[in-house]
Amino acid sequence: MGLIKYIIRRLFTIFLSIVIVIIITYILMWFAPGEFFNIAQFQASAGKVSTLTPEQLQVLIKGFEEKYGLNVPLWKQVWNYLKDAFRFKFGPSFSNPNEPIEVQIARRFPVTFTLAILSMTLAVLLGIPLGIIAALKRNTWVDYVTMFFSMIGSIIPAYLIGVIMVLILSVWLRWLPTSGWESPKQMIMPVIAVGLGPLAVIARFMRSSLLDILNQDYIRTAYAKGGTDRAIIMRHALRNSLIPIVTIIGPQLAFLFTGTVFIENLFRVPGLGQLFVNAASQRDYPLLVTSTFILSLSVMLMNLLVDIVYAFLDPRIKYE
Amino acid sequence: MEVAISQKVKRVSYWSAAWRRFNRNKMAVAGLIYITIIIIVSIFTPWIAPYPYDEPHYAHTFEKPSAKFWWGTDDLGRDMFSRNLYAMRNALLVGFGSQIVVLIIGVIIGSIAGFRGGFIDTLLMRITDIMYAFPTFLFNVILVTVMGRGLFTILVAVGLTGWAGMARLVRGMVMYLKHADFVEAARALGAKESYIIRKYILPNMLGPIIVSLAFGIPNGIWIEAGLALIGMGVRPPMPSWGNMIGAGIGYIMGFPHMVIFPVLTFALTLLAFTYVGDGLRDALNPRSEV
Amino acid sequence: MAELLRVNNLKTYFDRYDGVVKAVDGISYKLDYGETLAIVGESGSGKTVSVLSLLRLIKRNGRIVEGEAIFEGKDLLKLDKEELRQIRGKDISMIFQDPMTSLNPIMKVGIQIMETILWHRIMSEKETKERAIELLRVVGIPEYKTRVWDYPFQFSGGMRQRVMIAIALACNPKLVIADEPTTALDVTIRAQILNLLSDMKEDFKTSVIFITHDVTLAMNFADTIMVMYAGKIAEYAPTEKFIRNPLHPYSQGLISSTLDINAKEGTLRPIPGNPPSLVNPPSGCRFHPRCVYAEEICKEIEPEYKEVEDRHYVACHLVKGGKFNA
Repeated sequence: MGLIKYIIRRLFTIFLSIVIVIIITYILMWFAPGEFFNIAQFQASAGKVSTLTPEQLQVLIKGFEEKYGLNVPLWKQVWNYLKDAFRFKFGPSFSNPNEPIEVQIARRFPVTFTLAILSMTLAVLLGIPLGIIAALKRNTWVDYVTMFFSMIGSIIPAYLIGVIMVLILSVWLRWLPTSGWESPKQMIMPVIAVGLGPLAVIARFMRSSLLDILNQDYIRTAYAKGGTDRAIIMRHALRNSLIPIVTIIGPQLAFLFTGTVFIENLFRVPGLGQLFVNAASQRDYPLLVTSTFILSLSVMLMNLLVDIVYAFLDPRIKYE
Repeated sequence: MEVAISQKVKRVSYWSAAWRRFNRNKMAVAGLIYITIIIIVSIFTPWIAPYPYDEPHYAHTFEKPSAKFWWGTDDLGRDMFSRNLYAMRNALLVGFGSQIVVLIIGVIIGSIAGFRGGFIDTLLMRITDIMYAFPTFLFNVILVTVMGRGLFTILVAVGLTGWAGMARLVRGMVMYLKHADFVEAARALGAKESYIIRKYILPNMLGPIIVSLAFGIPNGIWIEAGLALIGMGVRPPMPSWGNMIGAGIGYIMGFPHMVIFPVLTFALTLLAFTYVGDGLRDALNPRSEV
Repeated sequence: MAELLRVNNLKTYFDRYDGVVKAVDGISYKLDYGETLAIVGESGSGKTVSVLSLLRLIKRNGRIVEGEAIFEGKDLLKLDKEELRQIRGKDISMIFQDPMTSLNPIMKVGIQIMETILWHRIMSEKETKERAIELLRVVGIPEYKTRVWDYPFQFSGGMRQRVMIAIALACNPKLVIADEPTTALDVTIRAQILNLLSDMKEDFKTSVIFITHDVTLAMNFADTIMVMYAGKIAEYAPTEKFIRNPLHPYSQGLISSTLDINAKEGTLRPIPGNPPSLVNPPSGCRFHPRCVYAEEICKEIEPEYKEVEDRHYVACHLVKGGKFNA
């Protein structure tokens, strides 16, 4: 079946891309300003100001290198990492050597995933109807207002939206709490902040897609056949205009995951995004490489899912 | 060389017609005015700013806006207005600077791919496909980790992660123009390849390139601010909208002014560039009409 | 024969950035049951707009300014949306010019045929399905039983046009309007489609309004010919009268600009000039800038559209007593 072959081909491309990404990331890390020694010292002295002799320092460094597999040439390091990565074993991280990275990721992944799914659902469930309404009531105040807010929503980055929401809803109106991820009340702002951008983009795109379709000849044919506005919009216009929407959901996902990085940081949501930020600021290289890997893989797999859905919706694809 | 002369005449009227179309878009014009003002302000910031951006006034910390400190002070008593000016300046530097990098890399790679085709072309297409679906911000963070935190390195990092779109655009145009009818005609009349590139291909590519750059600037700005927000941007005390907001968040309940002003100027600047970008796109490409 | 349709002084204008385009500027004609009328003219003559106006399928920036279109006693231009909807597809149906874009690309062909029947609640769904299959057979689609569930892109241009014809005939309409149904097709396919339409005419006794820019085609196919120019009717006559005695210079020009395999060399004579602007039409007779016979009066006064012999109408100053006097 053409579809199975397509999926396999895509998985292969994803695999290749991820491998390349990991290799590049790993090599880049290798060139980064070396602070291994500082970290080694820190770990050894557990916070105390250390007064180690040069020999003691050497021993520490050796131990450190062994523990993190750094005592082999670069290419072997990359190879070791890759081997284990696809079995989801990532070894210890610099900042928290007692908890293997894969455990941290396992704990945090559901959080980010929930945030992403909720936001995307919001974006799609609200964005599409908004776009449709704007198109049907084209050039009226409804259209102008919706499109104006859509424009703003698609330009302003997620973190800015988050901050503005906090300003209005927490500081001024005192309706919602500023951080956390336990209660639904805490979840409202992060989900909206992450989802608003994609929502705006989807709404604008839906509007232009629908307007484009409504201008097509086959819509005129449908009217000539004696269709009602309702029947024509539902049976011809909507179905045809929804298919292109699926194509922009893909890039929106990447956008969305980037948003989670910021929003988790802002609202103290314990997900992968927060992990990534911590890793970056603490120079925790293994963690950094790994969280990049996981986040990228998630985006690529979700994109694949979207493409499969698209193939189901558009009958023309199946016959290629 | 009559062909060249008539081409020149066409070019002049193309740009002036585009300028006319641009002017009809009020929001775009407003955006352009705003941008011109902030560019001028940014150039003269060291002379305009009432205080240096790193000068603390320990007796006047957390002050609300007043006559002395127009936009209030932050946790170290530094003047928010001055810091905002410098933040804006940094943002513009990264915004414009990154696009120069994007332009150089993108045009070079795109032209080669478009002209030569073959292996480089397929390679470019694969790379842009990957980058299209990849959350590039992550890569920006990694690059900054490697290259260090500084205005220049950030600018380069943004450029390095953002050239793919430009390259694709250039490649597409070069491929189309290589075989376009009017180019074939010039070739048939005996024009040299370099002449064709100069007089025919390049002028026709300018429009979409300009639009792409116009949209790339706000992209660079938000990445710069985003990096600063998570602690990977320019090093304090150098201000950035990102680290001003990041620092202000902690005090947002009690002293929202620390956050409101950067948020407002940041948002306005992004909007202005986007409206101008939209205006440019409609002006230079009259077909887009919904 | 009884009268099916009467159009009185139809005017349809469009609003454009540079002015008002008077696409159709006052045309009147009638159509009987079973009659085939060919509307002939260049692009921009208003022929398509005039028939789209009948079913009120004009684009947003257009408006029907004036006129009546009395169909079986009811004025189509004044009906409310629902009444008009009931006539569209059932009593009057249309075949559009470009079968490529006039069919929904992602909807099965059978469904598109069935829609028009189901929307008018004529028969049950089961019966509708059978009727759709039968229609495909009638229009000559091979393997119609399976192809009815195919998508438009799986058909060739000629086949797609047959599908459009099937849709148009689905509810046995009294009037079929065909807008240049063969223009987008290869010459070899053209003949097949025209034969098909002829057969339909014969078998179902439908009235047909047939739009074309090809006057030869019109003369071969229609009972009556109506020549339009710049939004107005230049000449209207039963085909035999038209062939024997084309009165308007434009009609004469159209005929002599066609190729005749029997004619002597050097008799190919195109009509000079370009179609006029519809925002700012020429003064007086709109054809005068291109008319080799134009006189002073033609530049100043618009000629009256009147009957000059039995059922033969023309708008030209130089026609007196049923004869053209140059």
